[in-house]
Amino acid sequence: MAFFRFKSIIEDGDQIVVYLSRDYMVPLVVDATKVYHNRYGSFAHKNMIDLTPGKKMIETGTGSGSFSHSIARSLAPDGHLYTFEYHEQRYNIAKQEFQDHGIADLVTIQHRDVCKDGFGITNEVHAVFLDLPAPWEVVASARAAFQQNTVGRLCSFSPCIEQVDRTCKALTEEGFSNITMFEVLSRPHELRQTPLPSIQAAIARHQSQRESKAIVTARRYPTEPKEEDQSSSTETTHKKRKLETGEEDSTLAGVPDKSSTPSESGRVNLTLRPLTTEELNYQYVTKTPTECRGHTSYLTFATWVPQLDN
Amino acid sequence: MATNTVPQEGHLVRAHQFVLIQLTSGNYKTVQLKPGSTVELGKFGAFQTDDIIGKPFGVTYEVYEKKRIRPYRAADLSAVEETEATNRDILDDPNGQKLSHQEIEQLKQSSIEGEVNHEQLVEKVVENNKHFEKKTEFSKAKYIQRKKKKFFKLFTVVEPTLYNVCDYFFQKNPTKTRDIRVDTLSQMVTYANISAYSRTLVVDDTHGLLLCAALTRSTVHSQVLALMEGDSPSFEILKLMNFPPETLDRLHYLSWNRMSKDEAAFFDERDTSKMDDKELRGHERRRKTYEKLLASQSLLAAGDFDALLIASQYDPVSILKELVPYVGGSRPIVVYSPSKEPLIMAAAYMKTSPDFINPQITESWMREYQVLPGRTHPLMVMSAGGGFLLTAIRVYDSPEAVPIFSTPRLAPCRPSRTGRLPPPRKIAEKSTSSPSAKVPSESENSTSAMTMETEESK
Repeated sequence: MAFFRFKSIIEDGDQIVVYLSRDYMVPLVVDATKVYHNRYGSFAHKNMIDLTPGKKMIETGTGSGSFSHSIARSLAPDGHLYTFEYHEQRYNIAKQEFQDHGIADLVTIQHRDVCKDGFGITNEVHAVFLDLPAPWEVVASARAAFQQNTVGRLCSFSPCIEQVDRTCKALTEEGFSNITMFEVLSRPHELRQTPLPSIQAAIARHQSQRESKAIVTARRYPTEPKEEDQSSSTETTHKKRKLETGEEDSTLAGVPDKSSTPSESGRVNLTLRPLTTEELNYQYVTKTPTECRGHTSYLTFATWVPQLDN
Repeated sequence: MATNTVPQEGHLVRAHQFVLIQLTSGNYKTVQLKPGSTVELGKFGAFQTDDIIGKPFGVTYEVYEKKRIRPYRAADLSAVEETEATNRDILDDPNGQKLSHQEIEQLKQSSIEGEVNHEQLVEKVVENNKHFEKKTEFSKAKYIQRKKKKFFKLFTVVEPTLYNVCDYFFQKNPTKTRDIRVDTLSQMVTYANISAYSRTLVVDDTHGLLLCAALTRSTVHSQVLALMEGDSPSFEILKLMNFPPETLDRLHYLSWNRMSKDEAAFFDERDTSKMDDKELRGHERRRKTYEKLLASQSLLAAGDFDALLIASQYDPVSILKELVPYVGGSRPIVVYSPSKEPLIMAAAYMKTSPDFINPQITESWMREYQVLPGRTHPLMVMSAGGGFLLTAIRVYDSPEAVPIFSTPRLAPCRPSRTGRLPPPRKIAEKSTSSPSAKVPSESENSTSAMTMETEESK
């Protein structure tokens, strides 16, 4: 399988990613199931070290090899990645993966403790990426690895501020310049549809519920004409009748009668009617998830600048 | 270490190329290096282009006499030790500086003329600050640093790489690049999976920044097609990146109005034998333009692009409808916008369309820190936003596909704990032009959609 080229037809043995739903994916090798670590999104920012095809780079430690893939993609076809891993099992797994994914000629992996033994590379690379517990121990070796007469970039990826502190000190001592440190996150905003009814719609349905209740009350206690109604009691009764039938025909039509009160002149629904689709007024909105990644690591950047004599 | 290896030519400053000149104030300036000319840096002095041509990038120079420069290495602020001094005795006093404004201006002028060294200038300003001795060592250092930034005639020759160019515009003229910040651009090229062999489709209303990204991340084996308004490309940022002609040859332009081949017939093959030189040149020019157009049209028609990058002032949904048919299966689509709202509508469209999977809206967040021994903290002022991205993967709809086995579909209104989006039917009816756009029947529907679903399913 060609890692850098897309192909149109899936073949036996290909590494694929299967989407089980719109956002749930499972990686598979066609035929045999196998897990492929892809922390895709979080690599984006480490690419702020200006990688382009043809450049040479050091990465340590290799870990699962996922960032190695990302780097290799950017350096292909004629660049090179030297990656170092001191954990033997991880080294073996990563090495096998580079083979399987067809990037073995772009990536050289070494089983080596760089903190003790250095990189063993001089005057060759344009960029160095450190993901180590004690990055300050390799800064001197990194300095020597840079192509001495061109500008180069170093990035150190550490979760703790104390690591950053020590690394920056080492970088300053080794003559790196333009030392900057960033915390970078990609915050998800989830899309959803939410009802956004107006308060007038809410008022209206409560109003109609109140009117229904008034009808029921009027039926329960039918006679006793009120003082202001005394002048035209017949007219009021007529009005009331009209109201009852009218409401059954229009506003309450089609709403299932659940808790209505039986009466001589028909059923009246006392439940609060649900808002209509139109009243619900569905809108697309985004919402931040309850939790998101709060910290990936601090990214420390430094520039290797060639020394010029006056 | 070996010092006699010849550096790659691309990493030395070349004559006629564009470079970024970074000043101590943090400001950048773009300069094209014409040999034998002088570059004016205002209060930071001036230098001659010949003095930096052929030298490596990244070097900081000091202007020490009129137009004369030498490499400079800054003493570091972190070397300062903490002391007992406090700011308790320092009162707000606008007359803390004994030098008058005129005197300082005079010093500055003689510094520009090269008569006074900038270190002497800063020393003088420091000496004349009444409160300087009362400051803590750190705040003394900070004060000196601030004055150096103001008066030191230093500049750094910065290579216009994608990162630097993006940063330059973000600082200097962010509207030109639609406020794209470096971390967002990094994510765009990563999500878009641009690599050596990519064929990339780009809608660039950022004066060429996206095109620069697509070109730098790929090689001779790749092609970039830019959709544009009108017939003449206006991507001025391209020139800053100093692309060699063979790189620019990989970039093809196509006007939105000429996507279809029927629109192409503006060139007629005529009898050239009777033309005079001027007519012939014009004719040949038109022929060349026409041939380029045909090439761009064929490139688009071939389809199967490896990525679609969009950063446009136009509605992303309208652009997606035009271009998605040309994007290959499993390929990423990345839409950038400085505001979230256009992306919301586009994401909603993607969720209802069978052409996309995994649409996600993300916001870029970045905070810079001051890192000093014992004094590390986030910068007091930070960039408030880096814009938003909508990413998705293009898929092919296969209506005839039948599952080998399937469980009966649950009622569409089953509430979901994840609160995932329901099929937005209303939008689908209204805005989807293609009749094939089916409503996805996911079993996860949000609780909020329940009422609506119930109403509609009656």
